[in-house]
Amino acid sequence: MSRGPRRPPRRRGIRALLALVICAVLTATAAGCGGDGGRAGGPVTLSMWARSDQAGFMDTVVEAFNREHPDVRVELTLLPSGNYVQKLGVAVASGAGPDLASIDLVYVPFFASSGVLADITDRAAGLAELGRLSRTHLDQGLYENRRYALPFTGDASVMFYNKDLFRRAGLDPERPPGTWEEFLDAARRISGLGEDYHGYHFSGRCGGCNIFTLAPFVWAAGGQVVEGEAGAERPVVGEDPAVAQALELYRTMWREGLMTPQSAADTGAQALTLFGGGRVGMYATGSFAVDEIHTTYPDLDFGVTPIPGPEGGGSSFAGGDDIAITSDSDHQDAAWTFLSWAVSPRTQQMISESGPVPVHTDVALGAYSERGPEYAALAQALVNGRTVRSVQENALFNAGTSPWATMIAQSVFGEDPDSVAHAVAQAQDDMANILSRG
Amino acid sequence: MSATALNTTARGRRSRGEGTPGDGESTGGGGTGGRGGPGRRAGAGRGRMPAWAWWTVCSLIAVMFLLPLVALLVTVVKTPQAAAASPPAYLPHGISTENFEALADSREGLWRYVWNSLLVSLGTVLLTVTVSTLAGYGFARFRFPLRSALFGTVLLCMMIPFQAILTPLYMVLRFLHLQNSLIGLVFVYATFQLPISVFLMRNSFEQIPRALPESAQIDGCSTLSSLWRVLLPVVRPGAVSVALFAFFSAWNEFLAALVLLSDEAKFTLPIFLTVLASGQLGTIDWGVLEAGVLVTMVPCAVIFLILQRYYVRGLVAGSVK
Amino acid sequence: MTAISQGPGAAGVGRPRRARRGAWARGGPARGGLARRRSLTGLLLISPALLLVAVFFLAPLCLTVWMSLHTWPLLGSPEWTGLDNYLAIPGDRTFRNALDYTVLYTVIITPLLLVTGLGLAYLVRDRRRGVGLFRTVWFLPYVFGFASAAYLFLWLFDSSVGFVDRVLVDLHLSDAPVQWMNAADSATTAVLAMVVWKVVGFQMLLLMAGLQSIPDEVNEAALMDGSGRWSTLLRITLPLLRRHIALVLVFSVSGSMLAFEQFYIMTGGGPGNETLTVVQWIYNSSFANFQLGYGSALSVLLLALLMAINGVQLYLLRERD
Repeated sequence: MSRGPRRPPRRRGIRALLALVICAVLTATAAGCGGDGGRAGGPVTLSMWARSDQAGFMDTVVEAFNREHPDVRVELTLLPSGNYVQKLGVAVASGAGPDLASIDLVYVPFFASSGVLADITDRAAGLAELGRLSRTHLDQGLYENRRYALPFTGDASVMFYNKDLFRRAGLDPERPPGTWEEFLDAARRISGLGEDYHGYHFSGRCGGCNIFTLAPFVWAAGGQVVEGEAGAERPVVGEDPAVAQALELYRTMWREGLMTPQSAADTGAQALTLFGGGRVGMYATGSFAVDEIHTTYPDLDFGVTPIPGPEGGGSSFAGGDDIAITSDSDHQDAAWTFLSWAVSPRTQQMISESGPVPVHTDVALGAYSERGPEYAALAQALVNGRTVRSVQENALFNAGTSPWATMIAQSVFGEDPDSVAHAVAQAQDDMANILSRG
Repeated sequence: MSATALNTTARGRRSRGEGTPGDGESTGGGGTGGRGGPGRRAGAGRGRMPAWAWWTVCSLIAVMFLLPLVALLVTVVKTPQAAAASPPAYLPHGISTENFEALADSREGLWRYVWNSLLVSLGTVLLTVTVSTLAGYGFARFRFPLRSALFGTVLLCMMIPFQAILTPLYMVLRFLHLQNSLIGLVFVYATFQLPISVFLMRNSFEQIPRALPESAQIDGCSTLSSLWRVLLPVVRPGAVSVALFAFFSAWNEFLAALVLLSDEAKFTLPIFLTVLASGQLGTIDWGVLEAGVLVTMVPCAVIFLILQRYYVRGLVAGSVK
Repeated sequence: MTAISQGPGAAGVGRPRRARRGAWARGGPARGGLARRRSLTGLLLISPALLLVAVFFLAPLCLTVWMSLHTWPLLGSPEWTGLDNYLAIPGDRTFRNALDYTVLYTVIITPLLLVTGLGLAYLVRDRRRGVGLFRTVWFLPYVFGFASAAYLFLWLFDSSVGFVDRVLVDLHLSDAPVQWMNAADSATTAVLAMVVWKVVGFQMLLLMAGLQSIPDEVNEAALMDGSGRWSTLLRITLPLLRRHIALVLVFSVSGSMLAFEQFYIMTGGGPGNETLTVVQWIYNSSFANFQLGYGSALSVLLLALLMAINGVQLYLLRERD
């Protein structure tokens, strides 16, 4: 106040500058987290995220919903499949997540356990369909006896086989292999057709493909890969003998040259092209391949059968997506409208027409199965299928860096005769290590 | 136009052969014109390549440096089908703009991402230049307690790259509600540009004769207005270097943007490229992706070619000292 | 409204500084008013820089250590686990492989860049006709981002649409297109090609500045003594270049230890985990597995490693002065 008459201007100048800088910082901060704008009047708009490899049918589903619900508008964003979980996790963590998220069911326990999904236990209890929806999908959405997600789209792993090659190799095309012995025998005979022919192909560099297609071999042999509830799970790949048995089966096929040489490097991108090329006898994959083969390789005569067990029986990975509402969403009611609509038989019927297996068992075993024997096999596989429950599914199994992927590559392609024993022990340690840290 | 600009780095280098002795003067270094002709002749004799050999070698190397860029230019003007052909044809059949049209319509539209990148880069430039000019001035010309300790703290950033503190940086920005925001990125980029920028600006201010601002102040200028009116014009080359570094680093930065931005509408160009590269079912539209690469590269090349004198001088000064 | 929520944070950062200033003012009443005012002005001038460094560098730096002692999920609440995360590191095979690979990559790329850079610097050290053109062309790729350069080379090395395989097949150097990304060795080769192309210009520039700072007479005297060119290089030039070489080493060692973009984009860490780098694994731990505490523990380790490397380099630099 009583400073000298000549000095204040200088100091005020600096003050003003500082004030400016601070203002800039604060304004910037405010702008950085601006609200989501007005929402008065008009239809409620819901944002929904899904993986880009579902583009084929997700658009149709959302359009149908919007047509039938003038008061709710769903806007669909497709994210790259490779880092969908990562993007979704980071977005919900910062409050920038969508209202609705279609999530690969293996990742649902992680999201359910972390508190970012809305608890829909009470709403779901009133749902007439609940008892007739896919069991694995429902189980994945449960965490500590509260429900956080509903089934949305289905998929199941089955063995595809080339009937032409079966015929040429003297095998009965209507009697696909039901035991590991028959499976090996078929692979040997088909590989015997010529240098370019191979009994089997699998994607040796793809953790996600192999939790989908190799884990059923383990289950069909009476084993499992993790045990316990999600959040308190324990890996058993090094303890359960069925894991080593399944890996030995693959290893035998690789060493006898029954597998395509591409198996060792395939990250999943080459598999369908190879099978479609008509020189691969068998290949395990999911429902998307049925339509893909029908359109891209219309002349291929193929059949579909469960993934066999050592002495018969069979198993399947029941996959696909659950759908959930985020707990941050301001439109819980509108979002629930979408969920309850999505599981209705009519919607499931419509979804299944463009690829996925319906998660409503009436539809799956009814109209869907009537489309042909390959569809019926997929529906059965979904109903009888299993899945993996872990809050670290990605790090343990799906990621390129996962112990599961490493274990398979080392067991099947390793030079050392002890490769399998060594690899499963190592994977056991590595999985335990992942679960021990945070 | 500026093909000789890199010569600005020839500090203290005396010319050889046919050059004039005066060449050394531009450097202000220790060029003593007194060293005579015999030395130069010996220099010429001690292994300077014949002109034709030198031109051949250097041109071949230059071709190797340019080939990837030529391949890029040749490919982006192909039709999308031709760009996806296997094996690729060396030359396009005519010029097509289809890749660029597809690029312009990609996702939120190319211009959205160009705009985001521009916003982040210019914001970083503005913040970095302002803050480092003030700090450089303060460190160079004012005495205050802990001056060297504080200067050391700022320089410490240089030792510890942000990649190593990425995870908590994400948490801090989330706490400040600056995560998933371009402004948050500007703050991060500016902070990690500060060490080199403050260093360069301090050196620039230290080279000014002490008498200059004091006389201005006696004339009645305040600290800031003497900075603005008297000193800034003198340190402008340093400030331009600082601005260029800030621009290039913000325009090209990848990891922080990848982690901090979760909303596709806010992506900068480098992150937009990852979107282009993750096509459905693992297929990449190469023509469009490489058109995106070209769009990302062109501003850097143009700005560098125009202002390389400042850029290179700052680079050498900032690194070597 | 959020501006208010930011108030405490900003004030919190400002407070210690004000307190310090007050303490100093009280401690030094003997000084003249002008000196004190200048000291205040100096502090005010550097305060924006300090604010940025405190919030976006020092805070995350301290937070790294704090987070590393917790199970810190991206979503949900952190839980104190002491040293558990550190104890898990030795058993983390992926990290050990990533560290091995990163060190291997550093050991390969560093001499490669040094030798290439030195060779290029030799060619353009003298001022002669055309030299500026070559310097500019060779340096140009340095101004592009790692992301755009990586996407350019990802395409060049693509086995179906890339030019590299086309050229190799046409020149009969290879019977069939090489699947570069299918094996660790060839994938690394592709990355090395990209990195050399992109950054060797910078190494050239620094080494050129070094070569130009050596007086001609030194080399000439050595040659006149009858030393061969190689022994002159080894015995005279390289020792005199030590400081510049050390600098080039610092840049390339710390740059390669932090390598991310080139691998994230070109190899994705594959095949398997064979080309996974340390920063990539930290990124995966934090933002793909959402184990932020573990990611922080790895960051602390990486920081310690870098500080050690930097310490050694600084020691080497100091020795000469």
